[in-house]
Amino acid sequence: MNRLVICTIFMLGAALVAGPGQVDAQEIAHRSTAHAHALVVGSNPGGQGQETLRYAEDDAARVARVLSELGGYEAKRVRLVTRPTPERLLQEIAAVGDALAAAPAEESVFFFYYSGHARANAINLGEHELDLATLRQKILDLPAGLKVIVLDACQSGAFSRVKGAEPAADFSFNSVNRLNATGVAVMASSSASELSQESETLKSSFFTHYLLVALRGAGDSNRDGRVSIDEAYRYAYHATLASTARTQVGSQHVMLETELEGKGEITLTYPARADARLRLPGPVVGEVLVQDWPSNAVIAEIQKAGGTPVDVALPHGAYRVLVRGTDAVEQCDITLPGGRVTRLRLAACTTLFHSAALAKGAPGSGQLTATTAPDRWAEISPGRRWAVELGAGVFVPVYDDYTQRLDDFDFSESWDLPPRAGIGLASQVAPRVEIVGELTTLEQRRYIRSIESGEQEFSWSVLGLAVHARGVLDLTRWFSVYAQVGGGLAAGRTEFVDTDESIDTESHIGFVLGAAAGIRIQPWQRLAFQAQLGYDHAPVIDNLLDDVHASGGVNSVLGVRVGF
Amino acid sequence: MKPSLNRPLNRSLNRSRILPAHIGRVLFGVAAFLLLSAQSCDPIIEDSGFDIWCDGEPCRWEVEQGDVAQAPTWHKRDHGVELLGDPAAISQLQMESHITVDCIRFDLLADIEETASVVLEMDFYDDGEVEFSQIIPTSDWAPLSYVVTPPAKFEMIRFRIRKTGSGRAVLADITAEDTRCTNVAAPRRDMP
Repeated sequence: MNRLVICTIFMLGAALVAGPGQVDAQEIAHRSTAHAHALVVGSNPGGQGQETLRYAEDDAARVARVLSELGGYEAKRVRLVTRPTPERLLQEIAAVGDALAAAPAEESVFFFYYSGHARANAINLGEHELDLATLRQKILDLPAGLKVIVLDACQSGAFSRVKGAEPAADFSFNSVNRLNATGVAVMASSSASELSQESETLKSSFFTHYLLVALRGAGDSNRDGRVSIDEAYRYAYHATLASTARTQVGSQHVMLETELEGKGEITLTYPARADARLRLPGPVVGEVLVQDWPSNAVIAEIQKAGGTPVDVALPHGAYRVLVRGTDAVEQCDITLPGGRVTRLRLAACTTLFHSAALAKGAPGSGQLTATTAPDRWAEISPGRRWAVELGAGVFVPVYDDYTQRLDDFDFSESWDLPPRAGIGLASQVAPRVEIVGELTTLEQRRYIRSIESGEQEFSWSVLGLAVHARGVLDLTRWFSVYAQVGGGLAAGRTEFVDTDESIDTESHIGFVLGAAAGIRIQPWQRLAFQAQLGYDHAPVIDNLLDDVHASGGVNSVLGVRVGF
Repeated sequence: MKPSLNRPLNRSLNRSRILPAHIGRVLFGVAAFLLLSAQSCDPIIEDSGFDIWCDGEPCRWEVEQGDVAQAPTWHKRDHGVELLGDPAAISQLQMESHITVDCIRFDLLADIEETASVVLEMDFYDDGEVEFSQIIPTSDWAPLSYVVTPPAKFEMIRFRIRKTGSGRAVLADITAEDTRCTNVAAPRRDMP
């Protein structure tokens, strides 16, 4: 369960100050790209009586990233400042003002974001405070036609301290009232009497998290490839309310107040321009969780309605997507290539829990009042990276110079069943990619020669300890194919039993290379069956005549795989 | 008239075989078994692998010249006989009244350096007259085979391996089996 850090999160929205007349989206877009500057500030430390925040600075970094990726802001014009003093913050604002002065005011945009502690009339920068009136005036004085100001400010400390206590006057509420200027739009995370929360699972504050999710495309309700401040507000309002309503702290109601006389839509991000996009098709219905892989950091949590596809703008890379429908939870490991839209295929996902399991209180089930939705996801996602694999089968013996030499010296092979057995430990390190460490019997052979004084026997066995990289492709929910390549160490032991029963043994060390392909049938969550055809090459055993025998060869293995 | 050396056979096979070759090997083995079961192939030479030693010499062999010693072959516990000295010779007399063979097939496995010369001799009546002499080429344990047409009837054979030169010569195996002279065109030796 999350450790809830009770804080008050305030958001000041957008203030658009421009001349009269309609400003269309294209103009905004052009303006954002041409003369857009952002100052993004995060500060975890609290002042006296305030607990250190966990994710305020991370939130700031994420906001800066989204602005660069999707907001039309050049990276060099996005200033990310962490833990500033009041003087430093004012200097940064002044520096932005200097940069903005170089462009016509009506064509420039300024975005300000702050995440940290605050009291009613000031923001807390560690032990220092910056008076709200001063901050407001400095921002309003900037020569930018469009000013987007976001303040994410915690006011209180830990949960135990605020329980039963009345929160102080809401900073964002006050800010809305005090930023009483033409063109100001304020989006606040909570009302004056509400508290807000950070989520350990989200690794973010609820509101900032859902705002970012909205900005990445989930908020694009009209599917025009842009997310306006209105769309972002609507999405963040509902998502934040739904998540925080399940917590013991209580609900947060996001506020948006704007004064945009004669203004058009304010576009905050352009997900259509994203490097990569994940498309949730229309038929996908339910809660969708997108996690970065392998960090498991939650990128987006979306309540997906049926019928309309939703695109989520993401950096290209690997992700794990969990879809909680009415009947089951599906897990989809997916890689998003750059420059294209990748459609989520539920048919290729793995079913984690069916409705029966959910109803019995399996992870992910149960009442939601004591936990948050992301917490439920957190109980599902981990723990599926490891598996033990056991296999047994046969191999086709390799005949080479070494065995030919035995033939030359009148040895004959004893046709025992050539078994192959192995045990492995598999770890999923990326979507569709597993690393498998495996200890395997590569070969067991026996040759016999009859001479006048009796019978001589020569035998050898070879073990391999190898690491394989395995690519897995899920064709259906229960059927996968895979291929693997790898290598490692091999150890061989030969035994020469003479006619007088004396035994001479030799040990050999070498390497093994191997490749295999197989199928996996996974009728249950943690249990799967595998059939594999492979080839190993382990030139380990040699003789006095420099003949080297390549153990391994073609092999066929049936196995069982148990996840944990 | 000397017995003729009909055809040297090279038993060196393709040594890079896996599954297909293995199948072929099995089929060949079955065919060979069926073929050989219809023929007699009794061994003529005793202790062909020089496995039995008595007082530092192979028990079944007579050291005529020089000296001999055990020498490892493919494995340190598998020994051949090394001919020491220049010259050096070992021989084995087979005296059997029933020796009536079509042809004799020799299979040799030896390691002979270039500075050594090794000759396989056959004295069919142990009368000092070598009726058959074959130089064993320099080899590095490559199997060699020869088919020799003996006299139509004889009572004894002395097999002799003679080495001259300073180089190293180790023999691991020398087998002689009677075999049919299929496709052997050379005439047999006339009766004395």
